[in-house]
Amino acid sequence: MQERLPNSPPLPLRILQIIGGFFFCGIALVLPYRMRVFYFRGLAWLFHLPVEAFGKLARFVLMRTGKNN
Amino acid sequence: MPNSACALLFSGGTDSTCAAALAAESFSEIHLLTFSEHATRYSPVPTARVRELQAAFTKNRFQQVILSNDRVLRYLCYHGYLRSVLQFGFYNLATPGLSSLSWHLLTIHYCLQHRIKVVQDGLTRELMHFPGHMDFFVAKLKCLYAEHDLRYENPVREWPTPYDQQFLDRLLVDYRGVPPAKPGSPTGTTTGDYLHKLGLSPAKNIKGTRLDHLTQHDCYPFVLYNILCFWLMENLFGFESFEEGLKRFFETKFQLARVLLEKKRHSKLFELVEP
Repeated sequence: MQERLPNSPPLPLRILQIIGGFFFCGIALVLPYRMRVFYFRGLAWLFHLPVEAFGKLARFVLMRTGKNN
Repeated sequence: MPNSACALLFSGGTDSTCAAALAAESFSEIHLLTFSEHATRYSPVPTARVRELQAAFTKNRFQQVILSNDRVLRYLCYHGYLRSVLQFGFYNLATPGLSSLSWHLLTIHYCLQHRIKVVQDGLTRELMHFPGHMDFFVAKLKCLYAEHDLRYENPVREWPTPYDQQFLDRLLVDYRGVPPAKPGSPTGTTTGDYLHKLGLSPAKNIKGTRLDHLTQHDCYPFVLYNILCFWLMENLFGFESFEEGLKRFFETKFQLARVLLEKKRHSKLFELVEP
């Protein structure tokens, strides 16, 4: 078996990631070009959503409490 | 300064802007090539960056060129697709690498049309899980350029890279320890340091900031590629095996690239179309 990168996640999470990987990549594999681009952009939006939302919330809290960012 | 020209792949980001500033020391005319495709069509065009470079280097001429690599990318992705899927499976989703290859194909075509002999690229050793950043890919590019009597250079390839400010990149890439591992604070001058000293950047590291996003043209969206790399391939086969698979996959794509450059019937793919 190939040596893994350091900090590889625990086995249960790896199994979930593999299942998720097959799902997301499987869809992309059968899509034509423009639909695939739309799919990629949609996935990017979805995965960045929690981080973007947290950033907006942090800015809001800082603004309301009068703190500088 | 000798009256010479070079072409430079230019997104307007820190690394390519630093490469442009370095190119200004050796070349009087610098053609800044920015590539736009369907996936990045809403991304800003780095015109402001070009103006800043022109203002900083008044003895040089910076020519901004915007090329659409959509057709070439589509061809690289889907030509012989069924056979490629049967042979390489999910490697066909290494689209960031195919996007990179399409840029270089158009760059070669541009250089041959404008009799430019040198190509500069601000590629560093960040995000080394991307095919276009890997050493084997860069070596293949050098060969491809040399076949057309062109010289491909990476002036900032070995420069230290700063700590990644993007949370998701730190979580997904750096934490997993994609080689080479970042040793913490870089020693030596980073591309951001260099631009900051020249007055072309407000801070030593603006990568991942809002300013960075507003001034540079995006690369191909890579969330799906990160899933392919870290969720699927690295968990199933290990990173080294994944890299070996990428080498085999891109060997066929580089062969296809050679055919594209040689066959005149594909000339429509290279029409310099403004997006």
